[in-house]
Amino acid sequence: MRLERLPAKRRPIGLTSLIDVIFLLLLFFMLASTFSRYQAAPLSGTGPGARAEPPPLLRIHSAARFELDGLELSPEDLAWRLAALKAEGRRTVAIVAEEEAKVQDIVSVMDRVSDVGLAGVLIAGE
Amino acid sequence: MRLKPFERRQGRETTIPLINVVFLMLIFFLFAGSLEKDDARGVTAPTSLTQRDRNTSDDALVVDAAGNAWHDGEELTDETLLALLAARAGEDRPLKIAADEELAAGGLKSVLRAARQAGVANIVLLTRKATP
Repeated sequence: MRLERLPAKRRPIGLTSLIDVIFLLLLFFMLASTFSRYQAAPLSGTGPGARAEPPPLLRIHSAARFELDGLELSPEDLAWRLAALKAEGRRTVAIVAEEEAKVQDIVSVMDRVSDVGLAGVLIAGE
Repeated sequence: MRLKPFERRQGRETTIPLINVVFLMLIFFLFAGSLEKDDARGVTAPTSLTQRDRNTSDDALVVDAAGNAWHDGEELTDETLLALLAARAGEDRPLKIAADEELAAGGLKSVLRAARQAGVANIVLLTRKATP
C-alpha cells in the first residue's frame, strides 16, 4: 500500500493573533500595575537606651517654626544646631509635634535629624 | 499633466514597528510597575529625602487628611481600630501607618497613642521618596 505523503502546509503564522495577545498583556499590565513605591520610616523607639540624661526636645509648630529646648529656631538654624548636638555626643532627639503641625513637617524634620546622624524619636503622648 | 497612479501601500511594513513599540511598552510596564496591592492610594504619603527601607502599603493602617482611619478599604470606628491594634499587639511584623501628608500631627499622635496603649511596639510610617 502506498501512502501518499501529505503536502506540507506552509502557512505563515498570523501576525494579527500575536499582536492581539501582546495588546492584551500590555493592557493588563498597564491597568494592574502601580508605580507608587513606599519607604518605611520607623516611629517606634530605638531599642533599650538607658540614658540618665533626657534627650534634647525638638518641638515642631509648623513647617517653618521649630523650638529646640525651648529656644525658637528658624529652619536655617536647625541644621547647624542639630550638627552641634551631634558634636556634643548626643545620640537621640525627642521630637514633639504640636497639634497644628502636618505629618509632612514631622517627616521633614525627622529627615534632617537623621541627616546629621542623630536618631529622632517621635513623642506621641504628652 | 500626468499624475502618478496612486500606489497601494503594503500592510506589512507598518505592523512590525507597531509590534515593536507595543512590545517595548509591555516590557516597560512589566519592569517598572509592580502588581502589589496599594492600600494607601487614597492618601498622599509624605515625601522624604532620606533613603529608607522599601516597603509596600499592603495591609497598612491608612489615616486620611481628616484623621479617619482605614484598613483594607473600610473605614474604622474607634472600636474596630482598637480591635485591630489589639490583634496586632503580639505580632513581630511592624504596623505600617500610611498617613496623609496634610494630616495634622494631633490625628497621627492619637493613632500612635492608641497603638502604644494596645501594646504595638513596632510602628513604621510609610513615606514616598521625594524626587529632587
